[in-house]
Amino acid sequence: MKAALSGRAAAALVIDGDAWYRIDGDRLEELKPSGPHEWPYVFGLCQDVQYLDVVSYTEVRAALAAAVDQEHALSLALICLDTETRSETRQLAADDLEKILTRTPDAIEFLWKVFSSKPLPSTASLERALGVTRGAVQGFFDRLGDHQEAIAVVRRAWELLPEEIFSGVNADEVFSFAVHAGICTDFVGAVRHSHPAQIADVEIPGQWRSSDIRRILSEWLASTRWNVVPETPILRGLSPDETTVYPTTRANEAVRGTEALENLYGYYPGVLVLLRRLGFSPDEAEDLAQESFVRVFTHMKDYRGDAQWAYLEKTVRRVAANAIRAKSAARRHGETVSDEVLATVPDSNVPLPDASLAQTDVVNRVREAIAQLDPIDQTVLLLRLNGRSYDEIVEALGISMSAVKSRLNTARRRLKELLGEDH
Amino acid sequence: MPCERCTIEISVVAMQCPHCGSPGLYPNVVRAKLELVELQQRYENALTLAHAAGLDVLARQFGETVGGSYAVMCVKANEAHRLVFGDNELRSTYYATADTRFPRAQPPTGTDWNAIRELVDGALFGEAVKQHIRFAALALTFDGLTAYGPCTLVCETSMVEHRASLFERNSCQFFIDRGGIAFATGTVEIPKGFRSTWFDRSKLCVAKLAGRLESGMTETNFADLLMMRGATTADDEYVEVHICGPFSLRSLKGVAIDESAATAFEFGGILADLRDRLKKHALLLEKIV
Repeated sequence: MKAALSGRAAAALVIDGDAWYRIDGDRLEELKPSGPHEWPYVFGLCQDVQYLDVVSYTEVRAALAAAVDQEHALSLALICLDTETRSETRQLAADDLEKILTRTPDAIEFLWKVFSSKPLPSTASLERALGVTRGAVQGFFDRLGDHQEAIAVVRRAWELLPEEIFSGVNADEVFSFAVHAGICTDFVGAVRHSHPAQIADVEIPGQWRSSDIRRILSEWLASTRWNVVPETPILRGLSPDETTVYPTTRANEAVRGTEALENLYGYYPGVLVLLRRLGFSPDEAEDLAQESFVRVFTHMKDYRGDAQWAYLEKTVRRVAANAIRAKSAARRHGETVSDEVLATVPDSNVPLPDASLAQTDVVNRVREAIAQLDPIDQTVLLLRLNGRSYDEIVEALGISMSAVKSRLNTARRRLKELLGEDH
Repeated sequence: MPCERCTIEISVVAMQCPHCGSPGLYPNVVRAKLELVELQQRYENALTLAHAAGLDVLARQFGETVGGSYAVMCVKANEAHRLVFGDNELRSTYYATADTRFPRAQPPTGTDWNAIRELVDGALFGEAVKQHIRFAALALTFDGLTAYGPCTLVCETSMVEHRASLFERNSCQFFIDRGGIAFATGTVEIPKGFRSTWFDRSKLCVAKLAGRLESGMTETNFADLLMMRGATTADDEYVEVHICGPFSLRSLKGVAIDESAATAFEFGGILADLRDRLKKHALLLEKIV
């Protein structure tokens, strides 16, 4: 039995064998004959359609009731808050909301996620909402009021995120994902209580650096919360640092074999993005991606099953470095490319192609230092070290000339700090 | 077909001219225009038959009445409320965020979900256009297909007439009733003359329904003829309206609430607020019976 349901449409369509049925959210017990002709009239353009494999109508009804309660809870909360709402209507809405929050505790979590995304606008009045509420609803609005400042801080922080952090992915989509994954609520909670050390930065968002945000985001996104949200393609195109937040599988035998390969292959688009950002043409990127996967698959015995992207990225960078070296050698009539190119490959559980280079202390220190750079700074530096012109880097990375120069300066300055002036 | 502005040939499914950038093309309307000859033939045949039955005056009267018809959609109270909440900043702040829970939800691959619909919609509108189509029904009253919800959204004609096309009946049911062979082979044959532009909707309705006219019918009978509710939605008979593009509060002439259906709805707060806001915007419609 399969079901498609939408809280917004307050309806579910069920395919049971060859028969179609509809269940409406306000008449859960009724099973109405249906068919594909109903689809656009039932769901319209609702974006919240969920697809379920279920074994009973009870499951469908439970899922639909929960989805409808979430939607109604949101509408009722907005009615309570809106300054234009009539008093009598506000009271009715508050009473209805109380019923929902009492019987569907998940609805509170949903409301909290949505309302943690942005501070209340001027058209909202918490005072009026609190004036008609009691019980769970009053508790929710009280909490919302207490957290407004923290919500504003987190929102400002998101707005200050440097555009390049998203590497062309729609920042609003990433934000929405973060909201529903509970990341915003966690940030808000952390700001409010200010106990994890790294979150202290959140209170002074103007001083945030890309690397701080990436680090915090990575930690949050890598947490188990990710598991409650279906895997989404939204983050597929993110830059390497962000892609380290992809869901990881536990290091156990179960992830080996087909499942592990399939999981890794899910990063194929991300690999292409990485290779394109390293300056390869689309055709070259395709070839090198395939070569990278072949290499990964032949070393699967060394793969523990965790840190999927990190594992893959090291191999890709190594394959890319070899390709760049080969191209440069050809262009320079046999002249060898600088060792720094190999620094694109941080220490890995996959053996380096040239072990003698890896044994050089200086090279290792340079490698480690470069690996600590902001990923975009790192990429700019490596492309420059590899003889790419500023214009080529601008084209390859899709950022401005001033950004290239700025990032190069930052990378050099940071390298000096990490290695000392003598290097 | 040529672009109306630059006259260079463009695809019938283009929503924007790829050459001069002329916007506001509605492929569903363009396709309907391409079947005008066949529609005219069906219309004239229907009038001929009506004349033979001594009902040609009634048929023309029916056509004129349909000229004042509306596109209507029926939704649940909460969905109507969301729309009527309109441009409110609260709505835009939080509804938009809530709507992104399933940002790219698609039917699971390898399943039959929506397969027929996908096929029909793809054949009717083209793959790139079908996602922009909103479905409605043609009505002479403010009473829509309330089996789908107690709130009938009545479209403001001036906001949809340029981007709406019509089909003889529920398009999916139409193709199902014509046999599943076309679906099995992955192709859908669309007979010509069964769709029209908004401005030619009278011709389509006369072509479809003239044969069911009976002497002595009044406008009330016309309304029932145009939209007949069956025992199940598969038995409903109506003319389907396809509206291309976005939809907002300002696209509406108003909303009529079926109180008998709505009172069964347990959330009085949403209904009460819906009524308040509809009254405020002068959008609460009394049903025309």
